[in-house]
Amino acid sequence: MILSVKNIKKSYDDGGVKLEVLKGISFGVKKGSILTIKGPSGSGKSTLLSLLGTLDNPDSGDILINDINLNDCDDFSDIRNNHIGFIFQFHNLIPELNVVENISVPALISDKKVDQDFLDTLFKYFGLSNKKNSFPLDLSGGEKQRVSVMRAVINKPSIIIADEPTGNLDSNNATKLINLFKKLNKDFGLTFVIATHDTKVFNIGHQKMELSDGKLLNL
Amino acid sequence: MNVVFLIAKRFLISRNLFQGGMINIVSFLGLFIGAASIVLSIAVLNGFQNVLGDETKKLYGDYILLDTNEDSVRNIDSDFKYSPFSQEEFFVLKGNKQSLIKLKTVFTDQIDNFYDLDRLNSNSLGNSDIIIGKSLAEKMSINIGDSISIYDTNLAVNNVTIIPHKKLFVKDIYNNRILRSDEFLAFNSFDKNNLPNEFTGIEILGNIESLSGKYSEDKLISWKDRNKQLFDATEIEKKITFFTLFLIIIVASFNLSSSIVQILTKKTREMAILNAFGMTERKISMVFLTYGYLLSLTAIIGGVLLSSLLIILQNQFGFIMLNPEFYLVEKLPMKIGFKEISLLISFSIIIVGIFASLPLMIMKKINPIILINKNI
Repeated sequence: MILSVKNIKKSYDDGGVKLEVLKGISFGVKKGSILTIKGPSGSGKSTLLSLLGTLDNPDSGDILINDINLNDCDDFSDIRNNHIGFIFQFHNLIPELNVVENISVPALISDKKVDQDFLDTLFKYFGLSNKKNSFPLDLSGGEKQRVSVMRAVINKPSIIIADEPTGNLDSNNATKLINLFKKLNKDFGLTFVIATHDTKVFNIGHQKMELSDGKLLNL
Repeated sequence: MNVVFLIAKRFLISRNLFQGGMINIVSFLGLFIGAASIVLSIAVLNGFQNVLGDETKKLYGDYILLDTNEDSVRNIDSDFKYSPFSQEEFFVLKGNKQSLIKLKTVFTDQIDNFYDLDRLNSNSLGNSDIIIGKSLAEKMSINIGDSISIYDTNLAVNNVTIIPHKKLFVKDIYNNRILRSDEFLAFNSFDKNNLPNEFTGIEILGNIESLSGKYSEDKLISWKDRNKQLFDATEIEKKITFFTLFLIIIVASFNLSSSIVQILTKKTREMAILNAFGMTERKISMVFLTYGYLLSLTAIIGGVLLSSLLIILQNQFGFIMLNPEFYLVEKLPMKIGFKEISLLISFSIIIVGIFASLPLMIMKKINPIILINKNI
């Protein structure tokens, strides 16, 4: 298992009332597979993904990424940089950086030399070779989201966490993005954990789960 | 390229130049003008200090050696020009006018070889001749070719008249108003057949380094120490000017703090993205510190370069002219050294560092979840 989640719980204080969002969730994800999670708004999908992405801490339970127990880590910078790739609902590109620079940010953060061959492959793969020096403002919504996917995979992370990746796209661009995820998974063996409302996205999962009432159900 | 530098540079100069807006431009201009003002003002003060030094050396040399025994004289390297001299005070009387002068007696050949007197003529000097300053000549209505009598300061009086010490023939008039020397300093030459047993001192031209070990401090005195009060006053003036004008840089640094607060507020989302991709909070702080330094050092170095260019142009073409009657020189003298520029840049780096760090100290802990609009 590249990702193991063991009995994690998470609650928030909602005006003095303890709101239990995740009530002891456990699951595992195999390397090179796609896990899709669906659930109604407010069911805790984003909370679950933020815990998997080390952006928040669970109240209890264990998360292991590549056999590294997150409870044993003080600083998550290295894990975020080398083991996790994020795809947000909004592209969240840095407007001052051009396309190549935006994609290279994760590699530059770890002081790694950007793998130029891999970068060129990705540009061809994503059909953005002619946009290398463009700035986010010059790109369409679909192009921006494809750039954000390239940024997520540039460091060849262990898992890619995507929260509503098609939530901000029209159906045409959404279909293109779904096909890209499938292709990336097949060609590069990348592991995806995707939370979505979109049935088309949900259906690409090798494992499909539904989050409801703080519990995760296998479908 | 280093990611911190890349992002800081792009935050500062993006496609919308100076995205930070007016505050960035105000801090840039403040630092630019501050640095340029300091360099120009110090350059003018240095220039006048140089004039003071150069003009003083023309009459008094770089150093005076008060130890005049034979061994001491032998110690003086042949690389140095030196001039033994005797100096006494006398009264000059002409009609109802009188003046106290210092008569410096030197070897004849040293008048031209050692001293640089800017004389009206270039007549050679005999031991019964005198060269007086222009101001003294005007004050006492003395012309070249006149005879004047000089009197001891302890006036020798007989029953009828005051007995003159010596009668001298005014051979030439020199022009050097530094320290009002041409009002009181006059030159005479030794009688080779009647040299004095002891000199007052030896004036030396050259660098002290190789001589300093050979003589005690009270025997070998530089021109600066001979005019210590005046030289110290110019040094204090330079320091006060530096620190007063440095206030411009300090005020501009307040603006720099505002610029950083503004950019911190605008870029919280980008900070969260960088944090989510593994950039540590320390590195994110470095982005904004680098941003501050890029803005301020560009302004300060720009100010230094522009002012240095103005100094070079002034020295080359003399755009600002002066009345030499008042200022001793025809064009505004300007000189700036590497030491002063280094000092300015070092102080600026410290001040800018402090003011750029202040907003970072109050920067809230980055919370990517909230900042990325709870997208993840």
